[in-house]
Amino acid sequence: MFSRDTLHLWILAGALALVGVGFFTVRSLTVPPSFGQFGHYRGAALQIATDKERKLTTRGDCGECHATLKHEMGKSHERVHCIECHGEGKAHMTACKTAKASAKAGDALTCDKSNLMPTNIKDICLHCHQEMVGRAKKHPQIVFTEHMKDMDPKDPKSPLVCMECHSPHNPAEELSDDKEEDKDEEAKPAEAATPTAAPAAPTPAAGGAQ
Amino acid sequence: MMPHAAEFIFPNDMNGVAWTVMIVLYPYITGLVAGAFVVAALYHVFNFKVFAPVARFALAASFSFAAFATLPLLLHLHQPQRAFFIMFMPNFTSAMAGFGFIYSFYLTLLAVEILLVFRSDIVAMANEKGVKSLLYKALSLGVLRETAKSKEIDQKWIHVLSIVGIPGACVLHGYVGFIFGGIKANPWWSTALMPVIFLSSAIVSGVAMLILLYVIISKMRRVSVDDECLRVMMKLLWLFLILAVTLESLETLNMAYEAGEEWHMIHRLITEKLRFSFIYVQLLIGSAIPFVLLLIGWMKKIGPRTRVTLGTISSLLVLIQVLSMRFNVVIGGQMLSKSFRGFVDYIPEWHGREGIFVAIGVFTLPFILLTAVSQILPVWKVDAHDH
Amino acid sequence: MSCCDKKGAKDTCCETKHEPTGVMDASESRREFIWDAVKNFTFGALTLTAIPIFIEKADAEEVHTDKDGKEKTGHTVLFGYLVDTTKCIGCGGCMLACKKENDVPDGEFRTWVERYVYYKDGSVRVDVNLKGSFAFTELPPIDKETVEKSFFVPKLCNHCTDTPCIQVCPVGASFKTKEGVVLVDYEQCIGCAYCVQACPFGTRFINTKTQTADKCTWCYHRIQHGEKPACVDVCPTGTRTFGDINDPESEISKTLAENRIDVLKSYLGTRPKTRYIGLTAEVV
Repeated sequence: MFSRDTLHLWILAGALALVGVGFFTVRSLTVPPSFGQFGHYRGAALQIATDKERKLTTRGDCGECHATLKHEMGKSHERVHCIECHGEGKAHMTACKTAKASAKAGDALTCDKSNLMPTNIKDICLHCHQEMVGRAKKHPQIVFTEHMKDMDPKDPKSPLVCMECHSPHNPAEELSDDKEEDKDEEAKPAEAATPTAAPAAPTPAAGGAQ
Repeated sequence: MMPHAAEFIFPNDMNGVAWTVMIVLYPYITGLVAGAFVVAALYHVFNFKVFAPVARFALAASFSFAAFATLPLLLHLHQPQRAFFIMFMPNFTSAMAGFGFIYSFYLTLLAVEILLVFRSDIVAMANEKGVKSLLYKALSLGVLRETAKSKEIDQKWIHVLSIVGIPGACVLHGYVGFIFGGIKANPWWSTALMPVIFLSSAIVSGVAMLILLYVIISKMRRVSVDDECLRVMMKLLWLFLILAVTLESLETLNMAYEAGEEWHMIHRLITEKLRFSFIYVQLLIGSAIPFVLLLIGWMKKIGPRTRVTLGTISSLLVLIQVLSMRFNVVIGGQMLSKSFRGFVDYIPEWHGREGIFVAIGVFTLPFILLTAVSQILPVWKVDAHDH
Repeated sequence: MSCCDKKGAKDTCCETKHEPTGVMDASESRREFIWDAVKNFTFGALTLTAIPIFIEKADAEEVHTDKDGKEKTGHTVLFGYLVDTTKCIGCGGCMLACKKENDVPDGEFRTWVERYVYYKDGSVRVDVNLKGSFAFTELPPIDKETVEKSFFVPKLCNHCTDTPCIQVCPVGASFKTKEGVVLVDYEQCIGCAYCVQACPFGTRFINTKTQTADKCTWCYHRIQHGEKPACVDVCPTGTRTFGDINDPESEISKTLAENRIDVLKSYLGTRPKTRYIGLTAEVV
């Protein structure tokens, strides 16, 4: 078996064995410790995926302070996320958190409310309510010019023209009784006063992400 | 019908194909490895003594191509520095995971077989004086003597390695076919025939490459081509070409006859998108013409000079056929958007890591290595006991 | 192929072969690796035909029990996703929310919205909203008089139970969590794009920023903290529902129970956990 005639073969076998040992050595140094913890993957990847930064403002984030407003939303718009019209409101949330931290019990909170009121409300409305092939018949949708034919708006060119008849928070109800004062407007006069003063209109969540 | 009717691809397909020209090149080079090895194995295992003039060269060619078979893959990977993960943490449900091991095994086998086949020459040159002998001393593994007994043992091992290498070549390349054949999401790929198609076309390309190199290098070395060797190689090529083209056509014909829901798009793929590369190049120029040329070429009454001409032309055409077949499978399959309503455009890039220039560069590397091996080892020497 | 492909035979053959291993430590995984390597070499050529024998069913939710989940809810959480195509108005808010939430590069999509238009002459047009906003109206106009019916179909990762993408990942960079969510480990992925080829739904892509495979995660970083995926959160019509399908009281379970549910490309047997209401034969 082992003789001078087979020496070169043994050397070759030894060299290959050495490569094999090297392979397993390098492998043991390379494979992450959590690999195989739960299955054939890196267990640590689960934590990394869990810890990823949340970016978009969630409904829960808004609901923390505006839980009551949620109930005032009409049935037709109850699923519309605040950020669709009001933007992400990150500055607003940060300001509120700081205000809350420094405020004493009983103090009225003053949060930064700039940039929360959309100036381009017509575009936002039409974003979902523009007539479009594909939209279910039961979904309210209009061709803007036709819709405005029988209307007599105060300011037809205004981007806020829709709000003359519809409350964004409860548009269907307003249609049936368009003279009644908007409850939501009453509920938050400070916010209603800001739209024209807002320097840069917040884009809806959709637009902002572009 | 609207202009947009029926034409729809999934949005992520709009960025083009994920597997580019490098993945065309990878099975092409691997195929050349397997094909060249088969000729060497026919000589060593099946006693095709007629291949004696090219047996050593075939082995050297097989090794040279094998040495660069993974380079296109590395160039394709978006995280090439993690390439070794495929061997460190292989997920064996993946048709790709075994590749690292099969490839390493095969490259090792080729290297060892070369060291043994050329051992007598290596030992002889290692015993000479001069700087050059250092290389041979290394290649001789430090054992600078040969006995009748050791030669006998080496012959036995060459035989064993060749025997192991045949299923090895089948696994190596059938496996490449399975990477495509096992993808149920893609009807142009998903067929059990795919490994067999890849294997037969691999042998075709390897034999064709050997014929071409044999003829060209003989011309350069100013030696005459062994007529009988060339004739049998052309016969072998003819046989495997029939097998390969039959299988390739069978796959398409079967799909056409069954006319399942995918056929509508496959039909358009073949006749519109791949019209040139599939119908004209793969079937007509690359298969039909060489079929006739090779048939004439391997007949005994043809003169040696005509045979050389016919062999050269048909080998070149067959090499183009196999390359276009790889293209039609790899790129063609990806042109079929999974929406089955439209096609993904493939615009090959010239520059860049996966560009055509780099691909050409990669493909020249095996030839450079082969030239180097030919300088170091007597690849054209015929074993004494055969002639 | 093998018995593993047949549902009926599954219990008798595959289940006995694959015992729940629970949590493995590193040395076990090394032994596992060596054993796998031995298997691979020994069976060599056989592997080609016999691969399904070794296929580990990546049913994390079936193999691993979730201790935390049990404490919280009394059962193993299994997430599911439901798309009610009859409600979608094609506003594209989901796509843009996803893009922002997950930092998806331009021209790459974890989710998108398709529109199917059936003409009265029998032809079908499919187009896609790639921008959100008014993108559908920017496409070549459609005369609504010629249209018989039309609807939108949002698409996203199907989070299949039998995943072709995890099956083909050579390095274990794609995996399924115990809650049934299919994820990509961006530090493990070698970027071979095999999973992109294997996904029948076109939901995987090579992310040009990370240079790895990428796909919808059902916003794993949100759902693990009790929030909803970004697309579900912003959907104004309730087209998209997400929740625990093992909890019979969840909104999604109730909707699933009350409706006729379909999945995409069911013939491929991937058993998607993203399910649909209101599909037609033309939707792929």
